[in-house]
Amino acid sequence: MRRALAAGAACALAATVFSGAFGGYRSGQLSLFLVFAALAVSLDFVWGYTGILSLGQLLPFGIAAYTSAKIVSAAPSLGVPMLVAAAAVGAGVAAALGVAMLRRRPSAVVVGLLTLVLSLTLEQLAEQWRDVTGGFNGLTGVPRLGAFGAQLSDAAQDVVVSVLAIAAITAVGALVTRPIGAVLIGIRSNERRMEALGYKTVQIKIWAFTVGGALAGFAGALYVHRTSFVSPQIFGFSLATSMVLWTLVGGRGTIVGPVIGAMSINFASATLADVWLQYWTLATGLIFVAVVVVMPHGLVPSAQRLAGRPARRRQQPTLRPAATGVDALSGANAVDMVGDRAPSAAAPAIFEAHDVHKSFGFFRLLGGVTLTMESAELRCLIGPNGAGKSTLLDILSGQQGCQSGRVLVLGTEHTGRHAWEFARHGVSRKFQSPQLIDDLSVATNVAIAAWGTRSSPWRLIRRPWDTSVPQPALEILERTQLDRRLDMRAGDLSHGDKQWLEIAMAVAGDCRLLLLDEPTAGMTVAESLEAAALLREIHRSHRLPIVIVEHDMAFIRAVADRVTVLARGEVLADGTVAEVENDPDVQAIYAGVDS
Amino acid sequence: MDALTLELLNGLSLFATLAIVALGLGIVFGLMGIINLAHGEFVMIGAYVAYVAHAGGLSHWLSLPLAAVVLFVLGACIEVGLIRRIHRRPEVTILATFGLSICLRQAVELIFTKDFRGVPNPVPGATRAFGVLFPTYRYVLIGIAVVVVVVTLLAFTRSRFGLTVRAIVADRDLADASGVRTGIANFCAFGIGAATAGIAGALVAPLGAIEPQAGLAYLPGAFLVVIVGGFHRLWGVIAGALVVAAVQTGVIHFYDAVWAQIAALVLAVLMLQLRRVPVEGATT
Repeated sequence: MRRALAAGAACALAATVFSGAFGGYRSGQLSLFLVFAALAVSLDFVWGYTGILSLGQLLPFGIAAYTSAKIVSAAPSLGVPMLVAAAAVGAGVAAALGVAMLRRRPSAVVVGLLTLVLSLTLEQLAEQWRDVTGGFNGLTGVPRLGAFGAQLSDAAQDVVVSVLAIAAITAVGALVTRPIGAVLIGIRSNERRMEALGYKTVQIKIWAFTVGGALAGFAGALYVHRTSFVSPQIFGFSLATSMVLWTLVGGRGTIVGPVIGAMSINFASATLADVWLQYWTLATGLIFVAVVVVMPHGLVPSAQRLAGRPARRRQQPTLRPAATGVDALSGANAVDMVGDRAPSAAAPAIFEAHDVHKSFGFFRLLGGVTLTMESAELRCLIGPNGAGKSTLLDILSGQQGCQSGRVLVLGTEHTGRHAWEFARHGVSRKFQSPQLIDDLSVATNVAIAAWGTRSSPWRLIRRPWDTSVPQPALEILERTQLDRRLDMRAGDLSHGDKQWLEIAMAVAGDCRLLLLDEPTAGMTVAESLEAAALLREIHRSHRLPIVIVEHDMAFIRAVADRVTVLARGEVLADGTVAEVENDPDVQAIYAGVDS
Repeated sequence: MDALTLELLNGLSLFATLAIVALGLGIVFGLMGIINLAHGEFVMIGAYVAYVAHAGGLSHWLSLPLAAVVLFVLGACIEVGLIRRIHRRPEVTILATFGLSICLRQAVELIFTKDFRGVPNPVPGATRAFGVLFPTYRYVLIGIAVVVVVVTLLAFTRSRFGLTVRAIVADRDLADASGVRTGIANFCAFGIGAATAGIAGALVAPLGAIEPQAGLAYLPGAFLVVIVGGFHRLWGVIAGALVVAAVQTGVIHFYDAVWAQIAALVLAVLMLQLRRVPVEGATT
């Protein structure tokens, strides 16, 4: 954060000196291109960080520009307050669009197309609606920025616009160094994982879209003062393509990248276009295609890699053990907390699934499964492939809904709730194939898991990077020696280490029921027995209820208090390992005899 | 009554244009998962083929198959040179074809300049039918467009080639492993998508000005058709074109073309709200 602010101050100083030294024309160009850089950064925040491919970032930009032009032309003294209002206009446009569009989780493709079509439509609307927008020629003669009844000179305005654009870029740069930056990257790379950790991903995406819109709106107001006019082309295909090009060439997911991209391409255009207009436009198209195919990460990340620096050097969280007594997992406490939520005298069951049905079309996955866990135990769920084990875990953690039946977690009705609501109620989930935030470090993955159950965007901006992590998560990191590789990129870990990191993440939150889907897949016999020992130990010392889906009988014998057998979407048997193994129905299913 | 008939004919004409323009887009997305933002440029180039054919003294009717061939070759080249390197990543294809559209537009501008070109109407005049006068060429356009759309869709849904292609859509890796030549299918699907755009371009050429930016005008409408009709369903193009044309014609009747576009856009957003789309990426 401090580095970002220092860099911003240095840039602002450099821009002022540049304007003084080169004067007039060059400083005018510089200020315009810095406004474009701010626009590119707003796209980068939404797309590079959060993963929403918005080709309609010109909507908040252009609408704020038109609004500013209208109001400032009528009342020149309102120039400065209008800059703030323009950010609010941009935020409002983006928020409305985000709510209308993002709530049903459309794919990146649909978002890209819709925003692009919307922008092109607005271009036509601006051309048609002559009374308000001035039609094809737009609004001209917008006064310069002013304060206290006096207007700035052209030269002074160039400096002010440059400095304000740099300040806005710096603010976003500082924002992404906060924990929210890591969370946005998490949502970009694995939204499902983030939701299972308790993040309201849709809400956070709409928030990020709104913040991006605010920056674009602010840039729109600066633009209109700098150029003194605005026309329908502000929504057009050409600028929409250009801003994607700047961001792409400079490098998504960095703040410096889009700034460098916007500045260099614009200066090149300004210099080359005079002599070489048509070929230069063709060249930008070729550069665009070439970058996508050859250098998809863009200049800055590629240069960093060449220079041998890790592509993402981010702030690393320090993991501290949670103070004793606050440990949500310690048995007495867990029961107490449960007691608080359910006033009935008897402690409620850990989870209850009643008559759960789930099918896709004609294919029945679960046909009326009733399963409860009365007290904290270590339960294994076994059954042949297609028995519905993973589906049952999905329903117990809110990843999927069920067609009929009820799900209660720790005494609270959870039927039909979202995955993040399950997570916030203490249900943690490890998926069958490891689901990590590959781009972030081991420590950041654990920290993100620890923040998940109590997170809102604003809180994630203010909270410190230091994170207190429950004891079991630290134990797992220590036993698997992941604690020595805390700053390693999670995606670079071996398969087994990924499995352990995900289990550590699952218990790092406010975990009161742990669901593990095939935790030992890909482990050797020795490793899986060690895993069994570690899981038993965590279960016993923290009285943590655990459900494990497994195939490996050696592991199950070593770990399970009780085993439930699923077959063809129904509960076939339930009991201790020995009881289940001697059950003739179970033997028939596993031996392939038709029962 | 006559006014209503005229609106219906206008709507039908809009439907036919939308359907044939969106057809290639729908094929390429439905079968290959590729969003082709350069599709409008394919249509524009098809119109230029008609212009060149006319300048060379060819009949306008010959320019339709000619445009199909030219665009098939161009599309196939683009598939081999560019799309093949980036397919299976829809977001990347959006970006690459974004750049491609600039290249195509600019290349055409370098060859033909920005001047407006035109092709004379091969069947001038109007025909009186259902009690109203309606331009004859538009009847021809509706007929040809509907035939092209239906034949293409039948080819993809009923023929052996179509079966191969749809097998690839359903499970590319399985099709690959079963010995289906997935590379060839991509090549043909992209080429045919481009060829239908070429026919569309040549077909609409006599109706408006031909210029390098002309393709952009077709993009919003075509994408709305595909969004409304639903991805991954080829016949959705027809349903989508029908709905979009109906909404736009209705709104144009009372307001104007811009509000018609906005109405179609709102419709697309509403369709999104109705349709449940799962989160991308992670699977267990």
